[in-house]
Amino acid sequence: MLRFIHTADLHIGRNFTRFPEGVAVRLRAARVGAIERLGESAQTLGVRHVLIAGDMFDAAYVPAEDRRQAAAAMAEFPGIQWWIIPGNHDPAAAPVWDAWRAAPPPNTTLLETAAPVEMEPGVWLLPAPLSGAQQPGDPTRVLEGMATPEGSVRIALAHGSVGSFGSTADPNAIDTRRLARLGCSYVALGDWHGQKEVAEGVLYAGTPEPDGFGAQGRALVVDVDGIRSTHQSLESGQFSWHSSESVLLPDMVATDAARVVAEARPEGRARTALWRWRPTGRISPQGQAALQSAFAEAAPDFLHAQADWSGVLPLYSAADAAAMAPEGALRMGVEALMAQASAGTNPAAHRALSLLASVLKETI
Amino acid sequence: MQIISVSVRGVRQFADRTAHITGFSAGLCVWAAPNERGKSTVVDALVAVFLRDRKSTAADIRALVPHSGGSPEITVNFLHKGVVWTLFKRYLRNPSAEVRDAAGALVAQGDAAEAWLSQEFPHAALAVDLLWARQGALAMEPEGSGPVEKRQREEGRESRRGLLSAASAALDAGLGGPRFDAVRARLASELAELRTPTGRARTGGSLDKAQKRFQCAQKALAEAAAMKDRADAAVATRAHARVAQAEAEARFSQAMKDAEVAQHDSTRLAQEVDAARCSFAPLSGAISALEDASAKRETALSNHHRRVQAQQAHECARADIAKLQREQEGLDLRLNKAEADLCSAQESFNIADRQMERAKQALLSAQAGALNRRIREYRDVPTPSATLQACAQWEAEIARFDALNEVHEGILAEAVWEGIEPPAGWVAGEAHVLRDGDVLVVGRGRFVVRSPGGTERLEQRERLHLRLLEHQKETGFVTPADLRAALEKAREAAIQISVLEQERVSRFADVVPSDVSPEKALAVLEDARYGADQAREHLAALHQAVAVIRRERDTMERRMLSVQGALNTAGAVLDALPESVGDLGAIEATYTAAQDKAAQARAAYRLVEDREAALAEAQMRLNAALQVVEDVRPVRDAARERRADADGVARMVAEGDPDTVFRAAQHEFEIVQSDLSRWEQEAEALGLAIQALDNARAARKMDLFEPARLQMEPLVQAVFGQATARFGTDSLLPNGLARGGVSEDASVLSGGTRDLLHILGRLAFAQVLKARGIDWPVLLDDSFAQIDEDRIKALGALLEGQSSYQIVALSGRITTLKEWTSTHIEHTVLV
Repeated sequence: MLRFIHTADLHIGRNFTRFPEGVAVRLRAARVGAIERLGESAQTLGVRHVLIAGDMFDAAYVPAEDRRQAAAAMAEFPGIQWWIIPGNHDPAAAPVWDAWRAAPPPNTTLLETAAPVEMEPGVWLLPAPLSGAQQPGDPTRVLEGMATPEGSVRIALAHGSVGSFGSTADPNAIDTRRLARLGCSYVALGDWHGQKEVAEGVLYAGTPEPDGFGAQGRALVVDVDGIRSTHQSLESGQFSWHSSESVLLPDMVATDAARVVAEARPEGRARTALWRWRPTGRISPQGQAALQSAFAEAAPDFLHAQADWSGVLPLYSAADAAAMAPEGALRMGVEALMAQASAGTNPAAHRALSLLASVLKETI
Repeated sequence: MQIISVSVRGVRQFADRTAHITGFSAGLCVWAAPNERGKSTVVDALVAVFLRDRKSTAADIRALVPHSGGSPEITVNFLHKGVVWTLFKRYLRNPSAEVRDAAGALVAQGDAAEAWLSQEFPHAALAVDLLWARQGALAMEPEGSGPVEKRQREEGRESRRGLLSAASAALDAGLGGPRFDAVRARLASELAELRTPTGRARTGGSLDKAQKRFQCAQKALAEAAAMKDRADAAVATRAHARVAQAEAEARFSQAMKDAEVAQHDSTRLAQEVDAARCSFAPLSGAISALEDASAKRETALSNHHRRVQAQQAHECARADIAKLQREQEGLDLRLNKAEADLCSAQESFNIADRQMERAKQALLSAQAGALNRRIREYRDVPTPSATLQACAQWEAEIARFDALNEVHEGILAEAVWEGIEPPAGWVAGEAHVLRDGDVLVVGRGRFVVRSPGGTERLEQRERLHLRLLEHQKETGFVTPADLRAALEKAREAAIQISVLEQERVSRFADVVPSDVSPEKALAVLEDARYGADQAREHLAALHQAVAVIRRERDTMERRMLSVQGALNTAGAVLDALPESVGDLGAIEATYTAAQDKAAQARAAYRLVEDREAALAEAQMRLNAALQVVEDVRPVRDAARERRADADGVARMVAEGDPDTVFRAAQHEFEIVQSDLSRWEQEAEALGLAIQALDNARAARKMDLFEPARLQMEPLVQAVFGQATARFGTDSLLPNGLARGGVSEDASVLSGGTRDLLHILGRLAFAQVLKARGIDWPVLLDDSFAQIDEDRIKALGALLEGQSSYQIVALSGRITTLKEWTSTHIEHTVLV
């Protein structure tokens, strides 16, 4: 029986420019850190092989430090053989592999030729590397002609998306019917960032370190026994990404804000978590202010927390208008802007009202 | 407030005199006086005393000072809240202000008086601006497009905004007041920092800077994207080059392999060809030996076969000849007999033929005899003596007789009556209508009434009857039909006789007729003919039989000759062939051995041919494979070069770290875009806030305008008939007139019409202000200069009707205004 770890889509070198610099740096480092965590898991589980089904690097051109750190991380686990195929983000023609080829870590094998390779005696790896970012046709078609000694265990390694049944018009689209004809004990796929079992023995491992809200960092531990294989999920992410939504009720008052935020925040260790919150609904300006304040109070607990307030519409009352302007044309103007802001028909109305309110305060 | 009287001293022409103006009343009061009487001076003084602080040194205060200098003093008695008050102010030197009640008690003075005025009349400026038409300021809007006029109009608008704002407390606090203006100004100021009035970003402002940063970032992003695209393209090109090179290398390798295989095959096959040729060489003579042996064998066998055949042929020929001779004898016998039968048949035929001829003759005689008999029969046909003509006549007479006979048959009596009416007592019986209108009446009895023509007819009938009898007697026929038939028959007989005579001449001229009937003669002839035919047929058959026998005999003779020839030929062959053909067995054995050897030689030769063909094919394959190698080599080399180039380009592009640059540019672009969006939203929000305030104020203003417009409508119609005044949005006064379906702007109206509109506008505002608790008089200083007489009168009637507020009309048109009302202001000047 052979046990190995199946992973893919590490996307080493990805820049998280939409996040504050400190957060982006840590997220980027976590991509390389995934190699370390996988290596440690492999040692713990007694696994000697790690299969990376494409997109190890995020782009064809990746800064040297990312590449070298990845290589160094792999080299730290000499008892583990890392089998790598190029994906669409880091195809075989990508310059990122030039330096890799020049000085590859000794315990790595870059499978950039579509030819069977013997992993272990009697166990053959059938790689389907991508030479370009958008390779026409099904990348697994090269596997059909791969002959291995009779009775050997065959494991396929490919990168692409599972197209619609029979459709191979999109580049890198894999036809599942072809996979079924390969006679493989296991087909290790990459490209989708979530774990997914396409068919028996045909799986996407997902990404070991999540890179978007709602994603999870996982790999697969696969056991192959002859023609059969079993698998189990392996948690490998350093950070967790959470996304939550809350529906706000119009009767929400300022004192409810802390409770609302507490109910919305994710559980678990916050300092390694990224949280995106989307509240929606109509509440009073005071309530919104309290909510924003409560969120701002909770945010520092997280590695990164962001709230999308675009779904929160203000609900003004007559008292709000009276508080801003006593009567007359000013009052009428305030009321007109409040109506627009409450209706949500003009996004600028809320800001206009804020401006008017601040000037009114100054002119009292 | 209602003005009761005004006194001025030290004001313009009243430098050292006091002018008392009295006679003001509620409703319309008129001060009609010639020019230069001080009407406008008094108006200016009123404006000053109500609007200007006593300490003011504004231009309009200084304008009140006479040429000789001095301090203007103004006193106004007015009715306010039911109380008569006296207001006194002195300007410039020793300024002072006093307010006294009706009893003359001092109510306030100095600043207190000013405060009292502000408190009691907080809207004085508004009211004066709206309701007092001062001389030279008939149109509140300065006309003209020059910068001065524009500035004056703008200042007027700003002034009114300020006035309107100041009247917020009185005008239901609807227009916002100074705070409104301050807020709006602040917002406008912030917006102006971002945008120009035309909506463009103000140069150097935050929005402008954000736009510029955005453009820079956009450009940088485009450049980074282009660089990344080039990098991606380089990677793609490199990928293609790698694939192409791999394919080219594979093709080249395959071509080399194919060439090697072809070369190996050629070499091997060449060796095989040599080996086959070596195997064939010793056997090369076997074929010719076989040919010799075969020839000898053929010759021996042929001779032997020929001898046998010749002997057989000779014997057969002899047997055939004997047979033929026997057959010939038989044929001769048959022929003799057939000829004898033929002679006999000929004799029989001759006899039958003669009999037939005789029968023919007999038939002719019978026919001739029959012909003669027919002629005799025709000749026996009697020929009437009468002619057809007589017959026709007879027939005509019969017809006449028949016609008359119809009458005759009806006659029963011979009595003759004269006339045509039967006598009395007679019953008419049959009435016969004769031709030609004659009526013959036959009655009971024996009387006949005849018409005058009837008797004649009877006589005619009788004559005809007799005539008819004569015809019968003469012709011997009873009826003319019989006669006609006999005549016809005789004619026919004559014709037949003629025909038969001709036939006898033509056919039977030399024939002796007989009495035998033609039928019997014909029957005899038929029998004779039949006999002749039979004899002929028999004779023909015998002729044919003889001919057949003769042909057989001829055939027999030819066969005899042929067989004789064959016999001779066989004999000649036998004579020509040698007596012995040798040892056939030995010849056969030699031949068999030669055959075996030849077979071996052929097999060996086929092997040589086969190997040579294979060698030729292998050489062709080798040539083709070598050609493929030469064709693919440059392709491979080119693929290597392209791969190297692509590698070089990709490495070179990679040095620029295009992904990082692109992401950084993208990030920067997003930041700048967000910033720009924020400033744009800020500007939009400011504009929205200003717009909301303007809309609110416009709504409130309309709240004021609408009542004024409503107030003005009846006034306009009272003066102009079916017409409507038009208000603009930035002026409180009408700016146009719509009448007769045509809307005219104030600028195109006549001066008098404009003045009228403005007067009516002030009246309307007076009502509106009054409704809102601002009671202020309307003052029209010399406002009627351009108005025609008819309109003046109408206006006067209108003003007379406005009794709820005071209207003071000042004009030099004394005659016209004196007709308006009886309330006239008096003007007294005291030293």
